[in-house]
Amino acid sequence: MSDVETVEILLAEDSPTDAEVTQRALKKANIANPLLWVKDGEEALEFLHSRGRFASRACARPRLVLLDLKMPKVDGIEVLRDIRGTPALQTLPVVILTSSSEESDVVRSYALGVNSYIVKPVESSKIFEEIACLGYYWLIMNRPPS
Amino acid sequence: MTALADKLMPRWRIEDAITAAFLGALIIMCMVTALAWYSVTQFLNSSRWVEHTHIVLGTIEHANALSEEALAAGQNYAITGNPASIGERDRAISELRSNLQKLGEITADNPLQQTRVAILNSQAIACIELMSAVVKARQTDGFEAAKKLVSESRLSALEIPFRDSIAAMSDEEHVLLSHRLLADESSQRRLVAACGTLLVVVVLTVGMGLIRLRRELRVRQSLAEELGRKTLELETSNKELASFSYSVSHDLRSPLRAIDSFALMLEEDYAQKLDGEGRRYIRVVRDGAQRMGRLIDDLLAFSRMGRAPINAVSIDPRAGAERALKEVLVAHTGAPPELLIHRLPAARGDAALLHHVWVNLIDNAVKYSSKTTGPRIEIGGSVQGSEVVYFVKDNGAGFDMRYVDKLFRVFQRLHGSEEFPGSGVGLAIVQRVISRHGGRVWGQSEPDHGAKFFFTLPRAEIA
Repeated sequence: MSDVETVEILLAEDSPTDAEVTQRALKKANIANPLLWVKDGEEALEFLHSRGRFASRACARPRLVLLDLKMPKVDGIEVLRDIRGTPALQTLPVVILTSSSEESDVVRSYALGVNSYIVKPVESSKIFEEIACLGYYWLIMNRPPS
Repeated sequence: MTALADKLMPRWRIEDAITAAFLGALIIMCMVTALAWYSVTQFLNSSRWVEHTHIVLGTIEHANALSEEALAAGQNYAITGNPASIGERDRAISELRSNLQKLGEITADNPLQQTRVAILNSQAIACIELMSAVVKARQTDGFEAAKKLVSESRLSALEIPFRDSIAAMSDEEHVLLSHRLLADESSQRRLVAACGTLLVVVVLTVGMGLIRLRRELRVRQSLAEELGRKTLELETSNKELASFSYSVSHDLRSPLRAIDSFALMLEEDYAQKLDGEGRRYIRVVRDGAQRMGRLIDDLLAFSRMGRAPINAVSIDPRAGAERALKEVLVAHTGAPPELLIHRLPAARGDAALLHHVWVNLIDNAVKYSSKTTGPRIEIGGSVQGSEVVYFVKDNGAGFDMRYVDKLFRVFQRLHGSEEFPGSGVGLAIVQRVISRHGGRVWGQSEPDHGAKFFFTLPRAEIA
């Protein structure tokens, strides 16, 4: 885990294998931005609001949040709602990275102001390809508000 | 489910049963009413006869009294010579005549009494004649001559049979009266019995009808409750199914992704440490995981087709078929088939759902003709009554019509996945979408002579 002060990518994902695949895919795409992996929505919110085990963290925003939808304790939708309801985090780029292709999940996420909704494919070569694209787009091509 | 349907649609519909019961009750009530009516007329008839007999008896007594009056008046004149007695006698005689005539009329129904009335008449005439002779003798020859005539003519000999006849008639009428009173009484009893029966029948019919109706209503109510319960159960199980497919999409895909991704990572990082067989094993693992991923995706799509609401509008089938063709051909790696799209009549349907129908049918046509030399796909349609029949035809592998029933079932395939890849869900999706549009799907084929799949949709309204 990288130093919490320099984190640029926050990955909220309850499945360790999925998290490992995502991290490997980013690394293979030469996206070396420091990444922090949290196992559920509660930890993600603790990090973003600098509380709990992240209480000592200075309030620097990450550059990108990758959110899984189905997570224990606090799910991705709730995290997204919290982010969009917090003035300091409102403009933070959030990408949903999920297994769910349910239309209702897509609609709800967009209604809450998500920046992208990516359905993780089962086929590994496609996952690597898509995560590489995602990393390029949000961390290299895209210009977020400073 | 069939038991419920049976209960909901009994062989004897309740409407028919009610109609039959009411008709039966009506017939019974008509019959009993006719019987009662008959009893009433009988009763009235017998009452009339009793009254008639009373009148006859009265007339007979009156005749008797009049004859006595006439005799008394005649004798009085013979003794006193008082002319007033003549007037009295004449009045009594004239009344007696009309009285006897009336008696003749009112006993017309009784031949015995008729003969008696005739005898009575002649006896009365004889008496009257004698009396006239007596009166004449008194007027011309005085009291003694009249007295002599009375004693000589034996007036009493004429009077006694007259009285006897009167008595006989009276006796006869009394006998008749007693018979008629008896008849009257029995018809009264019959009337009461008939009215009682009528009442009982009406009460029974109405009561039984009421009980039957109440029972039927109770049955219907319990059926409605059962239906409500079943509907609720169905809704619950539908919701469970929805949440099940949601779980499938999340929970099953994650471990599959792990299998495939880590196999890939193994291949990437350790390929040089494995021999050919080891690398083949990894490929088998990845193939299996990927195939299962596609199965899950198809199954989820199938389940979504059953739940998605249908938004039926007038659609352009040619645009739909061409869009699907483009989508299918992009992914197709073999030789492109020859295409022939006929004019397609407009229909009503949900374009998004029908897209899956076109994609699956065209994908099948492309897939199963891919091993044929000169693959050819033909798409057409025609209006037939209130619906449009479309078809997608290929010149590929085809299938044996013996297994046509299996074609549209989930996971049922007529070709091995080595020969032609697939999950066995495509035609099930087609069937589900079309049946939700109220249409039908069927296939025609012969092995190695291509297949032709048809589906129907409601025809678009002509503006």
